[in-house]
Amino acid sequence: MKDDYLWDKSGEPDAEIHELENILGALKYQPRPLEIPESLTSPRRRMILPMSLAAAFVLALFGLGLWLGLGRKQEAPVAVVPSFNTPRETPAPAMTPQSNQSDVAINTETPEPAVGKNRVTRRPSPRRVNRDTSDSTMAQRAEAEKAKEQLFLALRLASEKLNLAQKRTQGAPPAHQIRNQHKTG
Amino acid sequence: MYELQATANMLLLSTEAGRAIESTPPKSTPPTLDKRDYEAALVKQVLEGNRDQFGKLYGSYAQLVHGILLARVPRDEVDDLVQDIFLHAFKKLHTLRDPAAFGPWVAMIARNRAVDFHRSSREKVEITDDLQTTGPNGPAACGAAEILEIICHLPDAYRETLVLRLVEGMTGPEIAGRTGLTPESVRVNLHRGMKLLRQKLGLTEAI
Repeated sequence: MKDDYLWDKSGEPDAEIHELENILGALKYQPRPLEIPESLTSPRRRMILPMSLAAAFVLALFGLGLWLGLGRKQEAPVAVVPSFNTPRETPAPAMTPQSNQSDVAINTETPEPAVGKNRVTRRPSPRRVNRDTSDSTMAQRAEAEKAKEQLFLALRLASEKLNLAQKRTQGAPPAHQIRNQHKTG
Repeated sequence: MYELQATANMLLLSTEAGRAIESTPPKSTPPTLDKRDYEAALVKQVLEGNRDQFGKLYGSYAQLVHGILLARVPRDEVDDLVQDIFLHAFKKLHTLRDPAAFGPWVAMIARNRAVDFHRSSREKVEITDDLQTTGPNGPAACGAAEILEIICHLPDAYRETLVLRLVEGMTGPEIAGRTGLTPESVRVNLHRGMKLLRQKLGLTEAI
């Protein structure tokens, strides 16, 4: 069939199609070597560098966020400490309508806190408060320092890994390397 | 830019191909799985830094890209554009999602590049009435450039398929395999395109 010749050049050749092929064959593709400039690097390599830079940027942002979070935690207890000295903690003397003037005078002179049967509340002395707050601040500061060291260690590790990845991208990849596989363990 | 358009167009193409008009079923099928695997391996090797392997892909598909461009842009621009398109494909190869689909991808880049070429260069060559319909002497009376000019004024789908078949000498199954079109679509485009070309050349259709 002549339709077969148009489709896959099989069967009886169609004279007109054959003639067209001969004429148009002059315009056929003439092979030319492709000249890839040396400045063009491999596509995948160029992709890894921006990705590693982006990863480093995200990591740095994360670290900054952690750092700011720790800073706020350190400030928070200091703001609570002065509440020990506020007068609200000293309870007012009990006043009844039946009490006379002398009682009132006595009560105002001695503004002792109310004493219950089972518990005694004492007003902490200023020196003791200071010592407590300084102890708690010191403990929190030590804890913050520890966290800071851990953060720095994590950042150093991340930086080392990024450097290693960058070196691998600049060098030829090893032959046994399997791409698109996540490490396990 | 071109490669993104190419990816989007390939998605559209796959749905259009599904709706292609069916005529007689083709005897041949698109390229074998081995060839697709081979090309996918080549693409992976290029992505891993073996740039020499890109020369093989170029060797396999330069003819296809040449044909696609020849159906759309002036002849003297085609050779330079073929080189440009393959350099662009080399730079953007990492955006190719399916390594086995290098052919359809680069074909779509070529089509988009041809559209861009016409967008940037406003000058258009008007076809004369003499070229649109030749006399009863047929193709023998016309030169290659004149016949190509007539083909280039046929509808898009027909001219590309006809150029690949008549100029580049590819068979229908080869065209289907390399462009990503279904064999049915290629067969229909070839048949209808040839019918129109015969009319323009003043030939009687052989039945």
